[in-house]
Amino acid sequence: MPRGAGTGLSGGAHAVAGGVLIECSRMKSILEINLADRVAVVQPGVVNADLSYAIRNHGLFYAPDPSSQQACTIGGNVAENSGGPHTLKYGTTTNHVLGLEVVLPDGEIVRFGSQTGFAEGFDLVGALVGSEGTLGIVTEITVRLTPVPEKIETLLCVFPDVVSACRAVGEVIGDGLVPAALEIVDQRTIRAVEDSMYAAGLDRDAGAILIAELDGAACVLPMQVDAVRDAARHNGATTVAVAQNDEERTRFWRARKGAFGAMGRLAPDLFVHDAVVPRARLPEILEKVCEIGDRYDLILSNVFHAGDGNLHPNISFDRRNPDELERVLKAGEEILELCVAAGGVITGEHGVGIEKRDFMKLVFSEEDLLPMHHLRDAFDPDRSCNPGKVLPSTRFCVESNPKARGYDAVPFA
Amino acid sequence: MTDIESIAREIKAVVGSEAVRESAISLLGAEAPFEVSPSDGETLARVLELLLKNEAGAVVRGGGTHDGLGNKLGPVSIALSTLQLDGIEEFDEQDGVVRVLAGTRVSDLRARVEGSGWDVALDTSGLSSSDTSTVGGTLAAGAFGARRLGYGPPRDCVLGLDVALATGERTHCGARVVKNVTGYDLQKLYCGSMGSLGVIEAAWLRLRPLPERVASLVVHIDSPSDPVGATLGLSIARRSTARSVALLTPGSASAMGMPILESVSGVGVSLVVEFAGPGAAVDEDVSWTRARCEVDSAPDGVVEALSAFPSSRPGISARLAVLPSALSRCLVELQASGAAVVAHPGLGLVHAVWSSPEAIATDEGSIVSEVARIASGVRASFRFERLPMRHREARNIDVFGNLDRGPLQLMRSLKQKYDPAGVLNPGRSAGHI
Repeated sequence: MPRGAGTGLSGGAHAVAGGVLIECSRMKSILEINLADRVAVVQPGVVNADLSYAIRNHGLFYAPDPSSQQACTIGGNVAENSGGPHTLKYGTTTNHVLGLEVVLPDGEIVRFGSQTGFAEGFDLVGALVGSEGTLGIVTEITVRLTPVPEKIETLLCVFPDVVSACRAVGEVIGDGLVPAALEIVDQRTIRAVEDSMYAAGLDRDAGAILIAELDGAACVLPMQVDAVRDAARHNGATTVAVAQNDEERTRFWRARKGAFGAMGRLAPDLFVHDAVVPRARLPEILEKVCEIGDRYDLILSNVFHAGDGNLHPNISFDRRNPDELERVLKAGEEILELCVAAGGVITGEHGVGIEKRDFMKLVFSEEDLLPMHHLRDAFDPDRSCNPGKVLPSTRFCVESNPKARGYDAVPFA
Repeated sequence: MTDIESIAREIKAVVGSEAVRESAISLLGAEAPFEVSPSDGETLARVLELLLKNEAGAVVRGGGTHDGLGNKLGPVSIALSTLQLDGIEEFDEQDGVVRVLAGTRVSDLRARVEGSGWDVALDTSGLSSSDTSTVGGTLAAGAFGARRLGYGPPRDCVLGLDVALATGERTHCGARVVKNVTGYDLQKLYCGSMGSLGVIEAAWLRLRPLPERVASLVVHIDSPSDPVGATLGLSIARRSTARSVALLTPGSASAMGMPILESVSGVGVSLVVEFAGPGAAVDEDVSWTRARCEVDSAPDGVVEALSAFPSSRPGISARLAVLPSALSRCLVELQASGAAVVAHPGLGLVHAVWSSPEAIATDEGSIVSEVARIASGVRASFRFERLPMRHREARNIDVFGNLDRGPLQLMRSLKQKYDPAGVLNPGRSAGHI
């Protein structure tokens, strides 16, 4: 079972079925930086942010930016097909991986893809990325480097409620704009942040904030800023501010980036959920998500990648209270069912792991799972590589209970 | 194995006589006496079950744009057409996504969505003379034209697929949402697999905003030196709105007999450039280019002609993929071998065509060997997009080059799992899979 920095949120690196944990964090060398061709070759234990730092003086960066990028490894990102706030414009890890060296479960070392991004035959790189370490262990990754945009504009839009903010996002997308990021933070999160060391000077009475980031050619950004501002005001924004400098931009982002840390003030445990819905349905789904939280009498807050329709309903709770834990899990399940019924899926970036393995059948029929089993069997016929993850199976099937989802495996804080 | 007439009778009983055309279709060294055109996914699945039961092979076709691509086919009993799976089932204008059946022409889909301000990121214009490319065929072939720089690879616009397996199961993968890591990313596996792992029934596609402005230019470079053109071409390709940047070597257009390309050719290297995007950014990129070189306007249709370049004349054509820094060397060597060449500096792609009857007739084998040698020297992958069948048969050449043993074994294993009886496009894919 491969493990990077262990920052994953679906239990993909948990040894639920025993076995040997293969720790990849010592494979941490950047092997090659080819500036002329905008390509880098790294080992899997390289920390995501370290690659961008290494090329910072050359006008390039590594685009996938999961929230844990200061700690998570690129190997882990490959396993999970990690995204981040800027996925909206730049795509997820799969859009930036050109080639892989992989150790197969039988010990054979193989190379897929190439530095050019073209390879003949089946797209095995595409199949490997996001396979959660179940097809082999990645030992070398060739990635595309992206030019730093000429200019960045960041807007902070304040709304009376989260549904209005979602409507503004729908209008921006419908207008054909492709911002780098469209992130929404709701009132409960704003208050938690303002009570914490991450305080960003936000209005505690704001219903929600939308952080919109636009980047690209400097000549087009003023028009795009105007378009986002118009969409925000048209949907009830009470304030729209544009960051005047990097310091202010950092402050705008502080509420978003500090949200998960700040939630430690609300309760000892945090259930960070992850699901995706069609963007146009965000307003109605958000309302229903909040209703579910209320119905189960839970502290539910929302911080999410609105531009991608990627929800992160966060439930603050205390696992020592069995009744509360049970309500958290039921609410979580209901939220997934709601999202799937709306045409969405059960995870947009955290992966299936063990957490959502038993919910795969919400999205996929037995027939749909068949080709996934075929893929797994072609690479790992003995199912020895990260067993018990991603695919529901009778061999590892367990009842949907907190223990199965790993809650008893995490020590109390 | 049952005889073909008997299989045809069984299939007619499932799909109806009107969906079976008794007309021999010859392609890739095989002859299919019948063409079957299921009108829905369920019927398609039943046909596949019958083929499996009878251990009968099928060549899967969309618009036929890439009929000539691939290795020599093994025995097939039918051509399985997706053309009757035609229609746009849902178009969500607000979300910028569309669900479309596999047999729908890309041009029809584009026409349907562009009035709403959206564009289809499948670059098929110019790939076939009558614009017959279908959505399913384009995805299965991983096909693209000269605008790939702006559109990206076809797989990147695919959000979800409905696929009928060779064993008759109807499956879906992915979804309609723009971000998704639920289960394995099978869409990537199916795209470019030449229909050998399953038959695409329908797709959810992500649309992109229609560009506010498009500007096409021709850049003339007096120097006959390829490095100058490749370097400048790469710089232009890295401008933010560059959608297509193609380098045309001197004499290539006339050698190919393509009047529109001849009209933009000069004594030296020519670059055909297309910018597309926000108006101000396009204007800025045009000005940037004009400030550095002699520039003319490009005639309509020239980018499409560049897409058609590899297939515009009989002969041999190869596509090499190389790092941009090695592009010049690759160009020089291919020209020395007598090829007409179009390169895409921003992509590191080179299309080389040998159309002289003398060159082909004398020794096709030397061209094949030469491509392999050049590719090896610049660490390029390559494929033959066109190669006379007699030559493939004589030497059992893999038109997709020589893949490493490890990936090839996995590909064979995948084919065995997905299509254990070898029904779909037998032998066509890389490694004769």
